[in-house]
Amino acid sequence: MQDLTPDMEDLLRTASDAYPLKQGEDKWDEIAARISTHPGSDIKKEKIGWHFIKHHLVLLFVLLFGFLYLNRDKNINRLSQDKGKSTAFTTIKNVKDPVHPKQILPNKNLSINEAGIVNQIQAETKWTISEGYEIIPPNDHRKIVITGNLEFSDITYNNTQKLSVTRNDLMKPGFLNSVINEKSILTANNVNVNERLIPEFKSGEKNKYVIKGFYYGVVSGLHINAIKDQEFSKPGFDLGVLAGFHLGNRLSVESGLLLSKRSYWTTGKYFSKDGMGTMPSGMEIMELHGSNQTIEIPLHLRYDLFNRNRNRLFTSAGISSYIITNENNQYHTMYNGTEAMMYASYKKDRRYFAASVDVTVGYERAIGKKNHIRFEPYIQLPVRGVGVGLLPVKSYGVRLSLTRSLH
Amino acid sequence: MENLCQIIEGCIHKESVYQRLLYDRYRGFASKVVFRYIYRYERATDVVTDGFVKAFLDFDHFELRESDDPEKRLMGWLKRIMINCAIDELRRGSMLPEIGGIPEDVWEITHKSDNADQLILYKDLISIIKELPANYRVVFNLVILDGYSHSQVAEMMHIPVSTSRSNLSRAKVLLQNMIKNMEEGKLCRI
Repeated sequence: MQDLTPDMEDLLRTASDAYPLKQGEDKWDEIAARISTHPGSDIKKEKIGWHFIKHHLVLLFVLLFGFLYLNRDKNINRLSQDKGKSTAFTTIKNVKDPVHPKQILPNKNLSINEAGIVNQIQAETKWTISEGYEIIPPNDHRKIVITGNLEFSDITYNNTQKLSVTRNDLMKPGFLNSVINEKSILTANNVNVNERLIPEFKSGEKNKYVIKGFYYGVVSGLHINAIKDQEFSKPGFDLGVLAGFHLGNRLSVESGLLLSKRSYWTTGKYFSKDGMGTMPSGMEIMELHGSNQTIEIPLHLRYDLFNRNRNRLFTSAGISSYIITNENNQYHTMYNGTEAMMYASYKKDRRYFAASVDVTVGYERAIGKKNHIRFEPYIQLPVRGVGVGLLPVKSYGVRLSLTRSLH
Repeated sequence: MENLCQIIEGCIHKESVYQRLLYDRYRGFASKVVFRYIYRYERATDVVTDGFVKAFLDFDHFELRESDDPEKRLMGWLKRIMINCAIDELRRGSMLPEIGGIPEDVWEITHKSDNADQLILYKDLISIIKELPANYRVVFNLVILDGYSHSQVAEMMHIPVSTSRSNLSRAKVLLQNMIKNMEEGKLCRI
């Protein structure tokens, strides 16, 4: 077999540089368009948004501490929900038996401060007025916890005054102090419990639907999206985790992290070229089909409209912030009278604080003592445009969640 | 040369005016590089477009040292990008053999001049290279015409070094036979 000679190789090298080839069609416009719609055209990639997360945390803490501050003076709470925890206290089991005050309250001095908190009780003092009513020593740093109605008689020293007090009265900060003398000392034998007014626990109350403290869970859902009042595109989905805190019996604050896939469609008139970088002048976007992957961070305030047995009907409202991690668009363009399809993929993270306002109405049912299942239709209304084209994407969807209370 | 440095600087800063200048200046060079690898002219021009898009997007990775000749450095960098794009394109087509001849209209018309015959010879030689099976053609182009080592070729093509060597050897034999046939054909026509 014959091989190429070195001379021939040299000749071929020369030929490879100098051979006559037509330059061909000028495709600069296509190149310019592709550069401008490519993620690489973005000038700088910002660092992952610590500020973005910080905004949410600050907002969350402001809500939590605001609530705690507003409620710092409350000295009376419901006991029934955590009755089982007060095992250290003497409990009179049979509430129908006549109760002698001295049996209930040993002859110890106690005073009530301005906020109505019982203090100056001996550390070893452990007693309960009756089932369902208890006074907790102050060194426990808890508050008087009373359910139902109480009747105090002879509440003052002169033994002349009878006073009926309801639980709601006792909930008012400083109430007790307002009905007795400023420096009154309430002694044990001044307090009487009217047997007739002691409420009996109903059997159903043991199953009372109780939620308190923190809870967390998983959530998934389906949604459809539209830009302005145009057609809906194909459904998207989301999947994530949520966490919440009960601020009260009805109110809670929730946040979470959801990975969401959205599809959308729009005509060119809603597409802003501002985020496109150097798009060739004269190029017009006729239509756009796009999709994106978003990390969604909601911050919602939830209010329970209805709470009976193990069922709750609730509504919630709040904001959602987006981190768009990936966006794929198919553009139908017109340039110098020629229509063309262009595809672009954007992998740069784009962050939008408070991108949408969310409103939901949902139904929740308890499963066991700590678990809950939730069905929650929602609507997300855009506050600002998102993505490369700053599109105002509106979402309608439904989410199914499983949550578990920490307490 | 200062002009070229300005163009490079402008391209690094993604200024479209300079990108356009660079494209106009090196489009022909890029086409010649790619057309040696890609059989079809239309596909080759698409690959050139891809290559320039890639180059402009990655221009901030282009480094120019003081000791460098800017033009040589730029052409070498562009050539590498174009070759990579061409190999990617061939890989997408699984290196399938191409059928049909190369249309005459892809060649620049060679007017009667001092080196007209030479240009026709070059054109014929390139046509012969393009007749090689794709895997032989790529290795021959990379090693003999573009100066890459077998280990570099192996890395670029994701093949063993031994395969690169054997492909080159077979390509050379095939080429020699083709050139011989071409010469005999010319003699017969005379």
